Amino acid sequence: MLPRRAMLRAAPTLVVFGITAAASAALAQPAPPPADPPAEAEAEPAPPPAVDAATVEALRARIEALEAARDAAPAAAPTPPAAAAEEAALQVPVVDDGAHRAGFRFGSYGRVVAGTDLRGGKPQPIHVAAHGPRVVEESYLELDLAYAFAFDMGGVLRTVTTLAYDDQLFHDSGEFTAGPAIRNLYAEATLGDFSAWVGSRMLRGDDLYLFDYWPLDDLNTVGAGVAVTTRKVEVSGHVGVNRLLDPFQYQERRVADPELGATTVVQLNRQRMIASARAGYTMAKAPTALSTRARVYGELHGLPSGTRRRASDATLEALPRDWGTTLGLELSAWGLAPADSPYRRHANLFVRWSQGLAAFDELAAPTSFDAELRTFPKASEVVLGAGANWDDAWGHVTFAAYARRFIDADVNVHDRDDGWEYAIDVRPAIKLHRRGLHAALDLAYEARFPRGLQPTTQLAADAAIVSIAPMLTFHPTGPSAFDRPELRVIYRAAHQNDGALALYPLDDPRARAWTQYLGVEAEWWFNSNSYR
Amino acid sequence: MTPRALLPLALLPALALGAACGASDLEHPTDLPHRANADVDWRDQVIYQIVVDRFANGDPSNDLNVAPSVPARYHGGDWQGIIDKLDYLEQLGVTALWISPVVKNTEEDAGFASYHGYWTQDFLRPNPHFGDLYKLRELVDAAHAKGMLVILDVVTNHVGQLFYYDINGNGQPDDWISGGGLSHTCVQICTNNPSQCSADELTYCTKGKDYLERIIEWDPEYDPRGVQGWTSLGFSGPATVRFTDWPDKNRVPPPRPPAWFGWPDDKPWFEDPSWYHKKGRVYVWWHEGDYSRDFVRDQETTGDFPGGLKDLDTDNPDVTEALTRVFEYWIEAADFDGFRIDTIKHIDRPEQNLNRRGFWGTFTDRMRAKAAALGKQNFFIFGEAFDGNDQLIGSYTQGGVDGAGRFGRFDSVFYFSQKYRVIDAVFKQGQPTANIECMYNSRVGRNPTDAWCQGQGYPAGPTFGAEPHAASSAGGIGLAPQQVPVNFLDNHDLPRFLFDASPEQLRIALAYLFTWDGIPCVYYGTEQAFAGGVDPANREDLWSGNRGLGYPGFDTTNPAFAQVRDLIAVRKQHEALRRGDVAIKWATRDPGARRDAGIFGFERASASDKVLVVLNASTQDSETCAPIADGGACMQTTFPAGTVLRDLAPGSDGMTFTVAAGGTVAVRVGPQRARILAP
Repeated sequence: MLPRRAMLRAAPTLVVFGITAAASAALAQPAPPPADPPAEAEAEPAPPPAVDAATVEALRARIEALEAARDAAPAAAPTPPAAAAEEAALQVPVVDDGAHRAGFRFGSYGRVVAGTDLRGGKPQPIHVAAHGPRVVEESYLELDLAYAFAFDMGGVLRTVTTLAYDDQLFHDSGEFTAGPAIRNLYAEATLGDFSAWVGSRMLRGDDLYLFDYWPLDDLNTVGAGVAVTTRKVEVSGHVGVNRLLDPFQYQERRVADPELGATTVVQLNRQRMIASARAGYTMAKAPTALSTRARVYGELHGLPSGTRRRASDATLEALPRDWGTTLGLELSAWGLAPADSPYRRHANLFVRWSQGLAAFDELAAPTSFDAELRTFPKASEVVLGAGANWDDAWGHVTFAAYARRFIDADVNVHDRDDGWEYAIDVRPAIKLHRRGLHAALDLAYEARFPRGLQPTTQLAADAAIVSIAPMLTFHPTGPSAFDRPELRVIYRAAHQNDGALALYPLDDPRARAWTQYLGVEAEWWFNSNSYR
Repeated sequence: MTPRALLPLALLPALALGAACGASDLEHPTDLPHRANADVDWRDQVIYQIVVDRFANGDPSNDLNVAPSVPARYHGGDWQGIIDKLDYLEQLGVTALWISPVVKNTEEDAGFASYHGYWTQDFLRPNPHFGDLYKLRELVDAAHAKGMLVILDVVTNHVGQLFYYDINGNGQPDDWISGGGLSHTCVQICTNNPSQCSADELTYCTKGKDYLERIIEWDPEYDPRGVQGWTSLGFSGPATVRFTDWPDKNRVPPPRPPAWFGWPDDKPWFEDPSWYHKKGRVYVWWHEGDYSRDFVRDQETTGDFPGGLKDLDTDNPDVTEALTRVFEYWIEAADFDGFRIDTIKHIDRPEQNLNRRGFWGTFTDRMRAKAAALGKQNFFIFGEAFDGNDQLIGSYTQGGVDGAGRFGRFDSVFYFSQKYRVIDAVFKQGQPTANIECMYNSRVGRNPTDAWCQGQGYPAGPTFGAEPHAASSAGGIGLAPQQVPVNFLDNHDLPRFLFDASPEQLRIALAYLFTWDGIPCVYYGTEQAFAGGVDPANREDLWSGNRGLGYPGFDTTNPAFAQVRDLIAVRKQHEALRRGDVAIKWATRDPGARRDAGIFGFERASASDKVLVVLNASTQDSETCAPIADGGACMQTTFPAGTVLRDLAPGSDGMTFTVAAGGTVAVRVGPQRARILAP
């Protein structure tokens, strides 16, 4: 998986050329999204399993206790039945993320891939853009553990822990190890329309599912945030920090201990502060009508100055203060589904402009600087994105596209790190059976237009990959493209043009114009605390 | 709303795509226009030699593996830095920039980095420490816009330490193969079978014994038979050559050229061992007197350059063709105006036979032809022959004739013989100034019978070529090598002039440099009074300034800067100092204190200008007249009697001198000072 806002050069390196230091950081990136659209009502949960008498007795006691507590509380103003009905009809569909329930809740996002490159090897994703079609992916797992406490004022306080595992499957690698990353570790209090959280958290909005990409907002920090969400208005903000274990932000060194021997001191310790704010206005209608929403979004990044020690010769290097800003806009529309249908129909448009530090991924050190070693104001990123899905009786079609222009911070006008890239992907699916069996075809094209020369060929070349991937998908829990779990059988053929092949190192045996993939995959998500 | 209603969304990326400028619309540097240089006369130029890594750091994003406090590692300078400091160079007045090599190098060897650029790994791709091809072209274009020319430093003799000789066959590069001094194949063969060895080899084995106790597979000593495999059991034939596979140090075989280069797939490239001489390291330079010239020159021309820099077999036509096409490409891509070529005396032996075309006869003419084909005139090619032998280095400036017709060689050489016999001997060590006259006369073949000069070992000459290799319109410079020696006080391979000299000695040497016949070449940092010793101490960071003297980086107010700037200005003002013929008017042949001690007087005259220069290399006040005991005659000039000569020298005391009857003039000059006199 790619860094969300990796510099343009990073894209082929990470994806095409395999693991690098930056890629290691990328592995710590957010998991793929389980849901693309502004969330709508979930499918009905499966019937509960049979319980024994002791459990029933315990539940009865719990209910009695809750009723007693309710009777002791001041009575709430009754809601007129008609108004309640209307409210329900106009309710903005949201994923039930567990925030309103007390007790334990388990959720997960996961995907497992077993495939071949039809040359006898394990398939590898290939991309020339920072975010491309996700047909060929690596296995990944998130375990979402939440426990919520109801408190007297009618609110809920929940703790959330999300453990994430990358592609290290014992049955695949033979390595009996799997180190989880802690993707979420926070507590959130919800009281009516208001919520506040403290901890380490992924903050994300709507994504382009077909690219595994959040074009507007995708932050990972340790901090705190608040949100007010009403039927029409949502306002949220957060302030967080990170301090990467990278010599750009953190460095230890050994010094002589005052007494004897050596001890470790922290030479560089600078935290990136990231503040974000989001405001949205929703014009919600009944599911059969068209609902719309507009969101504005902004980020402010700040990094204090510091001094690090060069490993090469132990000289000190001053790192100046740096900044970053982001402004973004998202327009969404959804609805128009037949009454009582489980169809999900939506479209999202994104525009995002970033400058300085914000033009780079917050989980990786910037890779280019101006003469003063700053990224601000020269580095910039502009992203235009679009995503859509249309479920219907015949099947569904999912679409994603984005274009991105990245300019790095260095002084070079002609620079292969700079330039435009884009990707477009459409995945129509025809229903073969009412129990969720579909035949789909993923058609994708991605391209980069670097403003410089490829080091290997010393030529300027536009890199492009076109791919076609017929697949059979099975998601029996519903007919929508976003119903999960889903099982897939996929074949993909991809063609890389000369510009794409020029991105490979000269001796890379993977530099082949045509690559294939045949695999089976499973993907699921449920009860996620990260994706709303 | 139907699915069709969503189709407009597809317009979004299309709009973005429309706004995007693809790479394919970029104009490749090779397609950009080239500077014609029709207005260039290389005698007008002042060359400024830049070690790119040490001049200015304009782009910290390419500061890869820098260690600024370690003299032998990368420090961060780059082409952008030069672009940023062109105003500084303009203020100094230099007109041509000689930049260190631009190609991709092996990164490091034994802790030493390739910041200097002389360890080629890939002839076709730029060194990423300095920028990319666009940046290089931007530098050249920016220099051109300021009226400056750019000379590329080129290495064709050898590559970096890309392979080792697996002498003992264990498949790993050994720093030590024991043998107690008799292990070297030369010693073994010559000791056991003296009849198989020449007298040179026997000398070599005997005198070199101390150096041969240890064999380093990276850099074994020269063996005329080629480096031999050997173990304690005996010889095993030619040692296997193994290229390293250390990508993190960029010590991997040179990659094949890109398809557009058009190199035939069935031909070897620089990754093929057959393209190298594989004879081991040259090391008998300091024993030169003990060997026949032939043996020494065999070593120099076929042995590896010290440091394990593998010697290319430039007699192989494919190697010649590859190197020729490589550097034709660099002219086209970067629009260079000339080449300074490294280690030229390690290729060909023109001193033996000027009419054997060899590598240089082909290479230099092809470069000129390429320049002409690109519409460039006056493409200047000078070489570095690191040798005090005037005849040897001069032979590389002589053309020849063979069955295919006339061919040229170098337009000039870096004037090392002058460095030793004049710059050091006269201006540092106080040797008679007649050495300058002898040197000049050897070069141009004037007065070949001078007994004093011959007694000092100066050849009769002419040592340098007397005819232009090609007209300007044919890519040549239209000037004879005799007219354009590249004069210098120091360079990146020598201790800086000030390392073992005083500021006063520098003052007089600079006056010589900028008034004497030839093209002055200033090593960067001279204008900041840098005084570093041998490599790498002589490669200081210009941006750090002269800490010893308290000068900040790029200081333009210190005396050394003013001296260089003002001398360049005088040279620019007087055509005679640039292009004028030389007439030596006074030179001393006797060292020690006397009335004219250290005096060297000469006129330079062009059609419209004439200047009299009087240098005093001594530490006393001297005068352009003989001691009274010798008759007391004063210097005779060609100026008419009564002409009042005004001193134009920077820092002059403003004195004037009136030419007496017969053109004589007594010019008094302070110690280690110069007078530049014009009417």
